Amino acid sequence: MDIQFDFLYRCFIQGLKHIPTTLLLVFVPMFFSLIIGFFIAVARVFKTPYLSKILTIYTTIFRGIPNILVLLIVNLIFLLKFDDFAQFIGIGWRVRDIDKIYVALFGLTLYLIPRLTETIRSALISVDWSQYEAGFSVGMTKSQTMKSIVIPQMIPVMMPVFTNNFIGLMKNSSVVFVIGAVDVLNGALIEGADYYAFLEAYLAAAVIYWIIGLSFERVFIFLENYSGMYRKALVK
Amino acid sequence: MNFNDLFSFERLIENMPNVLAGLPVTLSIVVCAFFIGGLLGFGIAIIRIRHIKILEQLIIVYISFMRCTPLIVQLFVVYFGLPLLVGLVGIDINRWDKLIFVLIAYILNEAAFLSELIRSSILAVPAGQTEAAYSIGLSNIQTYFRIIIPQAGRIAIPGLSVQIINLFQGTSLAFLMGVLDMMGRASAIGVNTYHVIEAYLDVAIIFIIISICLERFFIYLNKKYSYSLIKGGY
Repeated sequence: MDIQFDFLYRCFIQGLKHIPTTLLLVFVPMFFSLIIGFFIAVARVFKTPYLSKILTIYTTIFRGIPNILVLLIVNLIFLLKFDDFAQFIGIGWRVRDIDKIYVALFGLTLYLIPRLTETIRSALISVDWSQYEAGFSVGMTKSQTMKSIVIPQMIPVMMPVFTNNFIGLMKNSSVVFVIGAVDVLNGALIEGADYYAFLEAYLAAAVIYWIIGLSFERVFIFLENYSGMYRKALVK
Repeated sequence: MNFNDLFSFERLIENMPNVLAGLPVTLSIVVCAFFIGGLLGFGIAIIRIRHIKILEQLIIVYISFMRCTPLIVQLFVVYFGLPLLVGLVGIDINRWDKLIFVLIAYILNEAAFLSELIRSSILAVPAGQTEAAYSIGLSNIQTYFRIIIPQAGRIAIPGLSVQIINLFQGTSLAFLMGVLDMMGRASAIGVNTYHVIEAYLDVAIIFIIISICLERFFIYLNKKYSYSLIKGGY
């Protein structure tokens, strides 16, 4: 057995075609988790009564569940209960009408929320309370202070961990093949399975993920420098 | 179909011992990958700090590959690729246990991540410490083991905690290769009884408990060893 470069090339091309799916699997959960995670983090940092306790327990528990388990459980509940649910709210959709990609998006979002919450929370804590006081003293409301003083300072602190979260999600999104969604890895595998060329398929997928990962890394290094510009100005 | 068909507490408790029997396999993957990977990572970190030519360039490519590709792809590349690579030398390892390939993949992965962590921690120890050690006549190796590593270890604790929890959760992928760890047992239960959700929840509970314990342990370690850092100055 040798590596067949012909098959490798074919798997590579098939994998490339599915890059948009992988990007979708990264950006959509990222977007929703950022919004939800931000509100959870704010509720926890400002100690909203009752809510902050519940949310702390939620994040602690759900941070412990691995990605693949979240996806498998979500998929299972979806398969078994979606028909009843659809009937209940009165829409005509059945399990087979729904693309697996939506289940994957939902599962990945569930997986990401507690992790991003922790990232955002630690960045939020790093902004000193005197910054809020400064905002209030010039007559800003709480949300104005948040928007124009705290968040701009929070972002550069958050950036390195956020990069890790982001690239981690990019890698973890490959697990969606266990529930049958077709992303880069699964696209390459489907092509490779026709010729029993599994090694070639995995190698092709690895190369594609490598390229995506490296380019994201570049982008984030740029963003990190860009968002942290005012800090450097202070040092000078 | 009523609720009992989907989920019942009796099955949740009934399946627990069966799933727990897979815990030693999971833990052995974690321990092996962490310690052997750590040793390998330490060697890699030293090579990168000392800027040994050619080796350093190779290692940069290796680390970038390990950091940018999914673990699952690495698992299968090792599983399919290693027999091919070793076959070139004329050794047949096709019949090895799957667990060995899984272990090799996790060790290689962990070595890359840990080496970055170790490297940054060692570089975070101020150069003055090394100079101070040389000035009182310690040799190179003595300086490393008595001055630098104790200080670097303390700096590395938060990173290590993230890394080991990630590794622990990452072992859940090993069942895709057919290793009978907790996940493997859970899906086997699912195949036998058609009631897989309780088994998965059992696995989730075990994962949550161990993750929380690990986290608490590392928070404790961090508090214990950051005594002089808190007071300001070292």
